[in-house]
Amino acid sequence: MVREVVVEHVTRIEGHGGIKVLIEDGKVKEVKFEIFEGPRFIERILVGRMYYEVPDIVARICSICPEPHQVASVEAIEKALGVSVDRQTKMLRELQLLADLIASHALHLYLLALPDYLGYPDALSMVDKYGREIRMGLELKRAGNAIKEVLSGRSVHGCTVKPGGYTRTPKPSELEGLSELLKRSMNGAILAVKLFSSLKYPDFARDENVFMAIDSGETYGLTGDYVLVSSGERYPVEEYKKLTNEVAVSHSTAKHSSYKGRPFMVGALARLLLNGKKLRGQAAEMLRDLEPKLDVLNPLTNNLAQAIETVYAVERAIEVIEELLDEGLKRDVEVKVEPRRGMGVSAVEAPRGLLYHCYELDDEGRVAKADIVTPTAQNAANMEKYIKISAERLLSMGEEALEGPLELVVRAYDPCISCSVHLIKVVKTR
Amino acid sequence: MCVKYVIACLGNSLMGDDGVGIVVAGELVRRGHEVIACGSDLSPVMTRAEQVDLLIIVDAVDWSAEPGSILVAKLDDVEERYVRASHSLRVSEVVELMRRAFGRPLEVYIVGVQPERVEPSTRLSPSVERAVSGVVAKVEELLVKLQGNKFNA
Repeated sequence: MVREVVVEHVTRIEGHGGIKVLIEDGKVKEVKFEIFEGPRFIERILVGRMYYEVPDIVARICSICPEPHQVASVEAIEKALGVSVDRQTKMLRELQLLADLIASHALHLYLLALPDYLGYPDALSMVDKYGREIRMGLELKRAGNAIKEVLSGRSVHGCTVKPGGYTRTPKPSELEGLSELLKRSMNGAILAVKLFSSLKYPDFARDENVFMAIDSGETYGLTGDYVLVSSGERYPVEEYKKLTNEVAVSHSTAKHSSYKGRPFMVGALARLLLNGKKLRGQAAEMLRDLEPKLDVLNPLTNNLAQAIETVYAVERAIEVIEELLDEGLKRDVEVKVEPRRGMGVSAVEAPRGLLYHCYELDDEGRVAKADIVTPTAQNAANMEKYIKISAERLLSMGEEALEGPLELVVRAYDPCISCSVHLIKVVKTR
Repeated sequence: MCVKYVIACLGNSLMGDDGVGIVVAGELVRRGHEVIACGSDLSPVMTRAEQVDLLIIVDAVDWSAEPGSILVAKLDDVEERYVRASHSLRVSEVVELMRRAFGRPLEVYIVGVQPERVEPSTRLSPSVERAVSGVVAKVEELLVKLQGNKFNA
């Protein structure tokens, strides 16, 4: 007897995908995490474009996290062109990455992940009983969006980020307003930690894992020149292909990644595992208290890691704004960029994990070649591994019992899923 | 007292006529309106829920009309199939969440444009480009009408 458990449609922005579990004679024979979104050819579209057009185009890869794409792209291009930017520009870019992390984690934790654990099909169904939680999540997201609007002109697909700097410098009064908003939103970040640390995470997906995250240096952060692997290695970002080893698979338009033959995980759990000791402030205290609950063998605890990381992001964003105001905002700090032939690689931590951008430029500064490796693509093989483990362990409870748990595994990775309603149906093939 | 309103313009300006909302956003900003240019993510609107009474959504909407035709409709009066064309986070779900989370009787209007071509391109097709000034006028008419009749104290 052959049966299929099919997840019809699990993603919205990062890709349209589904899950297929093939069961033969009562055993899980095969699992496929299918990403069937049509290729968008962004890397090809970039070829022939001038270097300064790149950040606006790559922002379109994702409406949830355009900032990491923009920051990774300009940093890679600056390396290719031998350009160094000043401290103010670096701080504004850090603020953009923090804003995106706040907005993205708030959306995922409160509106997408929480309904799973509270027993509701979606956020709308739980709003009458958990209106306070929804409101606090939205306030948190509002703080992230507000930073995006001030720094890049709009909350989605901003347009001020350029190689060498910004086309607009924020006003001190705008930054002061953001600081107030962030301070008010801290309650939402702390509540997320309370909520997600009080949940009982099922253990059906526990297994050995490999993690990767940026080496953020002496303090916790979202940028760096090296990548850490949980097995102890450290690679310069320029050697990212040794880490990702992408291969095309027939059932997915996203390539699969592996390191030394094993799938690996990127994202909040990986960051806390590899860089958590560098945290300071309330986030450090929370991590210390909750470390036993952050089970590195269980990808479902990625949601708790996201909550702790949100506290970090709010604290750090307030700190960055204070530093910018103390030092005084300088206008016209954009560095002059001279086109030339070159190649550059950059990696930043997007909310969902490591993001690589690599560009080769020709003599005139046009893109000759582009390579972008997103965190969701890196996690795809790892998700498939844990979906299979979960299906094998839960199959004895009946095919119907697979539905909720498989959705839970997918959502733990936060692969840009928003339309999370009744994703799975069982199809009998014979 | 005037109504607190938000104009949310949706669209991907790299996908031809799907970007009409963003072009309209530019025109509205030039005319002094505050606009949220949402791109392809409606969720930024949710974060304003406690501050607004009226939401006007501008987007490409496929209702099988002549390209460039303009649709003005109250969200509660249109069927869901009319408002899901371009962005898969359903408008009705976002609005319902806003209403119930904050307990406010949010009024929502759609000002839609029938696209001619939704495909990789940074340009609008001529029929949709010609409709832009009409969309701006419809939005402003809506604001005058609603502020004058219902929302003015």
